[in-house]
Amino acid sequence: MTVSNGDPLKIFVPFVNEKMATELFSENKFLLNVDIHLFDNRGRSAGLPKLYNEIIDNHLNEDVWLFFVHEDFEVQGELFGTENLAHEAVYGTFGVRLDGHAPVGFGQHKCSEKDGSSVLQVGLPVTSPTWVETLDCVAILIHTRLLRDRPRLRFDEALTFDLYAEDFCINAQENFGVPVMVLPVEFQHYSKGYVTERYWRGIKHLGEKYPNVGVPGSCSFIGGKSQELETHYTYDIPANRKKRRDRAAKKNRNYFKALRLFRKRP
Amino acid sequence: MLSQERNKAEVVRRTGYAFSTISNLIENHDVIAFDVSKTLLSRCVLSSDGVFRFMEQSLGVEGFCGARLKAEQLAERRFGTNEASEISLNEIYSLLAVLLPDNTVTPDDERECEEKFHFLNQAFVMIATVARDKGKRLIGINDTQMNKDQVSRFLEALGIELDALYSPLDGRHFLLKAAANEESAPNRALHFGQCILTNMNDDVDSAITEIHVNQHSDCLRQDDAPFVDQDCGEYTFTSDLILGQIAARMPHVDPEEPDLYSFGFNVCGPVLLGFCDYIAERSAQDEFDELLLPPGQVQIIEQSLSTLKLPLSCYSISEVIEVLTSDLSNVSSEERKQLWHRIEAWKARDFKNIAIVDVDGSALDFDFLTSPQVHRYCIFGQSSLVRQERASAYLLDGSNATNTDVSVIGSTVLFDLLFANPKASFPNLSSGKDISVALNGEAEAITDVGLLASICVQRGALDFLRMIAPIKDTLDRRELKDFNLFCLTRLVTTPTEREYRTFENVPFPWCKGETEWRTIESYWKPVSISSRYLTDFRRQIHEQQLHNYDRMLPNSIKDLSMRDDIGQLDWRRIMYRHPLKISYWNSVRRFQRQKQNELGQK
Repeated sequence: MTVSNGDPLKIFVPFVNEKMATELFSENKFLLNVDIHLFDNRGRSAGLPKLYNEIIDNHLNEDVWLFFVHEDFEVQGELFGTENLAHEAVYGTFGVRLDGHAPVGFGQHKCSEKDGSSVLQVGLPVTSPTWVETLDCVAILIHTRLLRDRPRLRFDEALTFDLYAEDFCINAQENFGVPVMVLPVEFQHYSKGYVTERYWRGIKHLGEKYPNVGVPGSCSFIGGKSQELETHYTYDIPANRKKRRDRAAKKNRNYFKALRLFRKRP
Repeated sequence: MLSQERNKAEVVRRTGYAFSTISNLIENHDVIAFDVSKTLLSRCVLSSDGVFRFMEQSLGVEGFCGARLKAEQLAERRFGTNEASEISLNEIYSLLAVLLPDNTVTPDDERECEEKFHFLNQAFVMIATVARDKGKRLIGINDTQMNKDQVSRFLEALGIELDALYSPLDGRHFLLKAAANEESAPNRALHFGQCILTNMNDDVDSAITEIHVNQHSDCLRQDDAPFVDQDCGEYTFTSDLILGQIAARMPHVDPEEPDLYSFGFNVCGPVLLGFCDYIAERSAQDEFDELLLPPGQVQIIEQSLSTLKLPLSCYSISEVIEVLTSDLSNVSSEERKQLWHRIEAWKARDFKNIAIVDVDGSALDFDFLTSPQVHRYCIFGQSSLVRQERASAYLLDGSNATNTDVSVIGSTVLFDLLFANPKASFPNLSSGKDISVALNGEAEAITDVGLLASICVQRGALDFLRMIAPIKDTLDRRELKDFNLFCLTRLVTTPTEREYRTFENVPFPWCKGETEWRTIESYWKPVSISSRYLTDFRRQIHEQQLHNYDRMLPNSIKDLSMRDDIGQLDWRRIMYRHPLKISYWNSVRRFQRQKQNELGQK
């Protein structure tokens, strides 16, 4: 196991809400000595995988830890040290793995609305690096040496805002045998899960991309074998319930609309 | 020692070929190669991760099993190449160091455990012996995680001599290389193995004659193996180990043993193991070392304790009562002296170091009031236990028995077969003698059948104990108890047809002496009996086929089958109008009926 002694850590935050990004990162007392790069994505509206891949390309010749985080991610305690971390692994702050047939989330954190209300505690606490199957997109930490040695290990630009971390983890494990780990850090995610149509399109894309894989994600099973896993377990995430109901209602509306089209004329 | 017929039956189950066919194949080849793991050697545990679970428990490394499996999966992807798909243990442990940073387990620890859980598979040793007798060269393929030296040493200690040992780590086409090293053409090499090695899929390797060897766990799933609860209930290391013993013995394929033997081996054996262990545990707590038992139970408990090497002595209650009440006139002076010494010793210690084991409640007539200090143990909780404060049950406490538990208590009738004492009634009865001659036609046929059934069940249970005795310390008491309870509940409430029919002709022991006799089957009323035992996997396939067929049906036929007046339809008229539709529907119905019969009652 090769560890990366003393390689610097850089945080990259693409944002569309400048106030939130500034408050949570530039003014965060736990990130005072950390190199933070805020990217304004309002004009460009580029997909995060595309931005991340560009950042990777720009830093590929350095030995550095790249920490990609969402703008609504707030570190509320001391940030993990990278001195003893093996560089041949993908790290994050929240991830999921199967325990029997049930997915278990690791990396306890607070999950709330954008304004900080309706706080939920999510995930099991971790005290040391803990292996998982997939990471949540909220935060992902990679060493450039891992990426330099593996040119095919990049974010999938077909995915825009969802599931790119999950895809990266599956790619790392299935094609390169790279472990995926969750690091202990205290944080709050100001975004309750939004499971949108875009998400389900992403799920379909990953099902076609990895037909022989079935892994648990934060909001659903992922991969071509996810149906097999779903026979044993159904996701019911508190943060997603509202959206699930909306989705069901929309589906019903479409169904009745379709019925009206085929109604017999008098 | 397993019989040759049984070993041949295992060869058929695991390879799909008759022994004579294999013998002919050996004749026509010069080099006979065996995979070491799961062919020449078998594991005591059924699943592949059983050893890891044991290591997690015994070495106290939390999360070891899951991380170890994950590390192997990742190592295969990182280090496995087309040239050499196999990975070494050191490579796996290099990834394990990342996954489990606090891990203290080393590859050597794992190798030691692997060695502990492997034993010789007699069926394939028999094949090896045949090959050796025919003058063929025997080579081994080390597909275990142990290194070559360790495997050689281990095989040597078990009495297997191989001419050479090769490893899949030797690189691509290692079997071809092995054949070349043995100076043999590839088509003169015969390989017994699992064929899961990716190298074997290459066309180049297809010149070697392959015999695919099924895993033990697959053999248990193959057909309606009775008294096996695989893939049911909670998975624990203990259940894995017990199922591993059953898979290694495969009593249901033994042509010389009836299904009652399977009952003894698969069900009574684990219960007897748990009960003896329970008594031993309580003996340490309650400080007793001698057991008083009803006359029928002395023999089996005594043999079990001695097989498991538990330091407890057994005495028959009836003998004690006889001694206490008789004038000892018909006993020799030496025996009288010994008995009196024993009784005086017991009295002097106020029965403190004695416990009564009463499996079926037949010791109730023993006067407990004279000795209130005596502990009393049984398998199931019995209502009479309230008489005694110091009474306890292994499986169930009568006070908190649920409905299901009550049915398990009702299953004590099955255990009467285990605790009957054939030799006490018929001293001349032994497996070596012709039963009909030994009984000399004097005993009633009902009793004969009951006794023969008992012998069979007891033999099965004791064989199980003999197999598991060397590794019994690895079992967890609570897990064993839960496993026994689950298996008994499943058997009593929802037996398969084969299991239920096992007791078809066994007389109910309690009706001995009555004018009208009945069988166990007539007393045993399960909740349901599945017409044929289908494993989950096969059931899923059948259900999927039915489902697919439903989807293929045209709507016209579906509508027809849903009509309320289907009973009053004039079928000849419909046949005349729609001959193809009706014949199609009939064929569908036939198919559905056939599948539903196979699925049994849901």
